[in-house]
Amino acid sequence: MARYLDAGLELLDRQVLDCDGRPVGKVDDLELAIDDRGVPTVLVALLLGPQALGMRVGGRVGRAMAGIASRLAGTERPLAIPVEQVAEIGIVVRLDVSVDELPEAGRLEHWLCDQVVARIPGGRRATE
Amino acid sequence: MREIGRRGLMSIVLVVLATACVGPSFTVQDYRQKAANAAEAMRSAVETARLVTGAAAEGKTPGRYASLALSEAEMDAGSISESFKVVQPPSQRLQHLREELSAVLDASTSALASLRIAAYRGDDRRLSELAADLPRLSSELARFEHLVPG
Amino acid sequence: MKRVLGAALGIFTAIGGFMDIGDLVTDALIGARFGLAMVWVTVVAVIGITVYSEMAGRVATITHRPVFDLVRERMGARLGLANVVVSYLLNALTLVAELCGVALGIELATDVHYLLWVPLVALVTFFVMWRLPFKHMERLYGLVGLFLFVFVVAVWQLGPDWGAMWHDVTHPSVPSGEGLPTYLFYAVVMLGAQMTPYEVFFFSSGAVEHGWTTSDLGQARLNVFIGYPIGGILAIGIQAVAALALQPAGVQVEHLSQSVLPVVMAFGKLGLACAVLGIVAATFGSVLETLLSSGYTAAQHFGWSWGKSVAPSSAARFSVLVIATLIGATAFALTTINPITITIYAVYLGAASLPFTFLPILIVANDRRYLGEHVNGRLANALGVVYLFVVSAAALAALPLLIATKGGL
Repeated sequence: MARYLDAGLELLDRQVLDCDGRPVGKVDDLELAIDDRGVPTVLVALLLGPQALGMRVGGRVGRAMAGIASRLAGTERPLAIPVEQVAEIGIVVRLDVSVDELPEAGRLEHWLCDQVVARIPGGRRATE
Repeated sequence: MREIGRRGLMSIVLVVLATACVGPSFTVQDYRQKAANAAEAMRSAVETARLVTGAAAEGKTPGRYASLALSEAEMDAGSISESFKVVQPPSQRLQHLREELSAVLDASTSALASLRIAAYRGDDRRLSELAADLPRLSSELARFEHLVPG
Repeated sequence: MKRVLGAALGIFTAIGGFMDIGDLVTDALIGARFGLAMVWVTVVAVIGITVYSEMAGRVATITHRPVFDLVRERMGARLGLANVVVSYLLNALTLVAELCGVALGIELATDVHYLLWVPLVALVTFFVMWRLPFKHMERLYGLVGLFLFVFVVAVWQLGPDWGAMWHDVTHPSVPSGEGLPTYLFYAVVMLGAQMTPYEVFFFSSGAVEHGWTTSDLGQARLNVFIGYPIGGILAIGIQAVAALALQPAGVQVEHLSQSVLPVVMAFGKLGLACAVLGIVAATFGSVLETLLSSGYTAAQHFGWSWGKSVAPSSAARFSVLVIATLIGATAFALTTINPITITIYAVYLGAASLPFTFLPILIVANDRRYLGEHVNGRLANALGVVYLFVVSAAALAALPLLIATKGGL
């Protein structure tokens, strides 16, 4: 028997973790393939990040959010994780790649780490 | 529909802001209410000072605490007195009320100032002398609190 | 023996976490103005915060996913985004109030103006945040915060008429000279002071920071079931001493120096020292809790890595946001804005936002896909639903009451 997935309830807004259990982001939007009739049929990718979220929220606030994020990222396209890289969809979405293999995912994180956190004494202390 | 909701909210916010400000007082009833509120607030400052000096007389307060509490009471008193006096009474008859209450408010404020100075200097004897006047001020203020029924 | 000690420490932290500047100000203010006529509100609030903290703690312990992580799944993108922005700002506003609260507490003992202490408090906060392990951080303020019990002991020292007190508690009435809208306005304020959203965020995120698993559920329950009610006793103690010492004199509480006055009258210098220690510790704990909570809400909403116990370099966005919030709140506190006013507004807005925190918790706590056999029982659900109505009614009434009473005049 086929099991149905309610994308709105069980996929959108879920936490995404990489193969080591590190947070990647949230499922901010979904990318669907459109067949020749113009009907969306197949889930292609999970879209992550403020660009995707901003577009989904819409309105003035959403557009501003997406616009700022695009400018910072230098690209219009949000981070897309192809469904082939998804390992499991449960109360969290697990990927079978590491967050390090997704350079766009950690861009702001890495920048802040190098430019701010590393310069504060103790910023590189270990996890408790 | 959304626009109306937003505008409605804005007007509610404006109403709140408008009513929160101390403006000119229009009716006799308003003015009496303001006078009663000022007297009540001032009595709170005076009573605070009475309790603090009472504790000080029993050697219960470190000097720093007494001078802090008294200077806060004095500051409150100053602003209560100022904001009452800037309000224009709506009729000639209430001019009398304004003068009478202003005199008590001023007397209270200056009594609190003297107390604060004595506490700051650590002059306990002067402090208890000055404190003796507080119950009288308090009961005078209490008279004005009953200007408004209810 | 070690386990007993660990359990006791957990409870102490819950007590310390319960008390904050909002309690210290509103309890004294309301006690001085309404006597013991609002003790029932405290009882209602303590049961509510206990029920929802237990639920949020259970969800976080079992799924390793704290409240805000789940709020978004249940609210969708738009409402979720609005909720995170409002919650963040509310936490930041509360942080300003707590920062000033620590500084005001130190001012009581030193007579050096509180604004001079604010940057210093912020600096110490930064060091504790950055360096001290989570567990030690909690214990530090939890234990020292117990000095606040001086307020409870002072009730005996002030020698009340116990029968009359019991009567006032069990037959609450609006004091003469106060209108019913004013009474209800302050009831909402009191509810907000004792059921603060950040307590729920912090408790559930703390469960993840501690690395709690199913076997720690007992400890989690013990902390809220014993810790919060004891916190409630402290709150009632502050109301009672204000009712005994300040209400007869007609004192309206506007300063922290007035909140501690009953303790000074009862125990003198030693009492003041205990009260100051307790106030500084409890508000300092709340500084850390609100600060971390502002980071938790944003990080959990956007799916960043987060946590105080995580190396800052592995949670860079979270750490930078927390530091930026601390700097912003310090700057705001230094604008000389009245800290007591900020406190009352933070508490009042907190009350209005409670339904948005509680509803998603209640929904998730009933979802077997998340919790399996640990879903809500009948009692938790019954209380949960009742409290959802209570906080919704309070939130709906908050604005009309504010207008009708012109802000509690």
